[in-house]
Amino acid sequence: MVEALMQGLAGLIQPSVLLYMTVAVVLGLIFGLIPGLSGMTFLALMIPFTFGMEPLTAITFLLAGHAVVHTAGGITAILLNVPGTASNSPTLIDGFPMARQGKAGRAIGIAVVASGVGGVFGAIVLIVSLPILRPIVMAFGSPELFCLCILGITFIAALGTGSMGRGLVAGALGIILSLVGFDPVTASSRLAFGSLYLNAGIRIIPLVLGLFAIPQVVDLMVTGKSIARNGAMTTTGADLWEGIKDVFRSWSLTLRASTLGALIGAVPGVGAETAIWIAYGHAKQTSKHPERFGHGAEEGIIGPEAANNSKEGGSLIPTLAFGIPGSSGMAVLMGGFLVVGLDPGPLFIREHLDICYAMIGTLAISNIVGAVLCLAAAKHLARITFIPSRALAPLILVVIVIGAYLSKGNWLDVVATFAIGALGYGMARFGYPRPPLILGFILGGLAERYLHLSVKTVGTFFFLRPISVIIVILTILGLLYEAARSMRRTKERP
Amino acid sequence: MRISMKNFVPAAILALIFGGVIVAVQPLPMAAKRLPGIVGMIGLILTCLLIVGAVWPKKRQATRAGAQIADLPSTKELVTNKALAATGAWIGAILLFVYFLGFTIGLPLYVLLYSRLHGGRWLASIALALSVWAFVYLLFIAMLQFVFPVGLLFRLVT
Repeated sequence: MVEALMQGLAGLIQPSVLLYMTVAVVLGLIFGLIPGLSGMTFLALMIPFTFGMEPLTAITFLLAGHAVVHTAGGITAILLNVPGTASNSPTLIDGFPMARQGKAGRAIGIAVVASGVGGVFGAIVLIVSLPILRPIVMAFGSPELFCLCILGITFIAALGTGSMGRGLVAGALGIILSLVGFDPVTASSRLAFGSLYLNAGIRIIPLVLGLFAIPQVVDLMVTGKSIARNGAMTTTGADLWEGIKDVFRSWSLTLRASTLGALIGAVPGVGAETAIWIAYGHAKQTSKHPERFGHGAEEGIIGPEAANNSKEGGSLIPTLAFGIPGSSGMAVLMGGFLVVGLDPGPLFIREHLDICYAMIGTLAISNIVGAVLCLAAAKHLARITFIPSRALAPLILVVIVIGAYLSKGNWLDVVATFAIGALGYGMARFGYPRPPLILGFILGGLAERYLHLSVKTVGTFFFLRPISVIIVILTILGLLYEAARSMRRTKERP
Repeated sequence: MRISMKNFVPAAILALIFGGVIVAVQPLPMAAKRLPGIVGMIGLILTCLLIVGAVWPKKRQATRAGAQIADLPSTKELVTNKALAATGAWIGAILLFVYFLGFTIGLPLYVLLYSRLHGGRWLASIALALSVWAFVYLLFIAMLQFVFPVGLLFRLVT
């Protein structure tokens, strides 16, 4: 084992491998900055370039770029209220208000370092769990996945800012939106009203862009002011340093969120976004000042960003160990494995343990390099928040239009983005929180699918399996905790 | 009884949506209508409670609802309907520009017009439009080989 570790690390420090890794990190960061271009797009576009490369170089190249996409995605979420990838949506809830207060540099420092720490942590989890993970991942069937979805849905109560009732209504609306289109069991067309586009279901990119980015553009155009209304025009190293210190001050949250990301990422079929939102909900639930969330709470950036990158290490676990992709990105990465002649699965770990360790090293190194590059660019990027509205608003609109179109290459996605934008602005105007809608949307469809599968395969009492019972108990405890906190806050309010 | 229209109207619209969902899924098989039906019912009950709160607001509830409204400054500040309508028209216009002129021409032209008509100087506006064109053309078309649809006007001409 030690020999394989040494071999893997020796392979990584070859100049050509390091060069490809650096190029991939830069490309990955660029992909992350542009909404609509995800880690999966990076892999799909870059796989053809790996033909003829050595297996280790090719895998390192693909994984390094994929690993840092979310690091850069958080930057646009903070600066423009436009998430670079769907997984960066929770970051904008607190990151953007910080940018508005003139603390963009600090927010970027937090996001980038939390991402870096999360990514390295995910790699460590991967090292530790490689020998023991098989029984854990295999224990998760449809009933456990359904219970995990329900656990996630209960975080809707925690995500609302203010009235819990409005948060729950927004969550219910999100679940309804996730059910639009063909029903997975009976193939009946649901709530599509005869539209071919709606029959395919509403997609996450138009939803996120519409709910958060369009209202932001409306805001910029109506007020005619820059994003940052106060604060220093230039971001100094001290601002970034303050952000870095914030992450280490909240070390416990950083580690907890990273653990959540890695564990949920390791469960195939739950979806990356679930891990991020659960991490955000957890950060809010365990914060001493939950009332600051939504108004620029540092923990609101740390939680989702740490989980965002650590989940990549987690999702590599089932990909490498069983040949079951832990996420859609990992499914494409598996394509890359096959192109260079590697076949992930139980035999892979036995025969190519050195490559496994090299991949773990790649995750750790690329996250550190990505974080350093982002910190270096942050000073200049933060100036975006001071650009006058007449220049910035149309530029954000351009990014939205391109991002919405690139997600599937469908013009109707652009139209849907603008229609959802009207809903998003209405929700903001009338005090309905938007994050619960996204969480409901992400988990609603998954919950329905796993409910059907659980009832069909295990029966009505599927939730009585041991792991399901544990998750159900956690769900009930979480709800009771939230209710007790809510009551305490109501009593304390003058 | 003083109805808070700001709370009542959105809650009533949402109640109609949830009610509509319950009705719309009725003809479907049980497996397809189970979850939308349940969630629609929960949504309807919750929005009815919000409507009740809007019709008979408690003093404390009213303050709390007011405090949590708006996470965008424009919704806090006094925004005239005229300004909002003009913004809506500008945002809608980008769809028309892209639909009729395509991405490579429509987007830079939109940026040029918006910037110029909102007080930007000619030189700055043209530089902005050119940078958008370079972004779209060089990154997406030349480097990443994405194919954007041609605008309707050009399709009609060719």
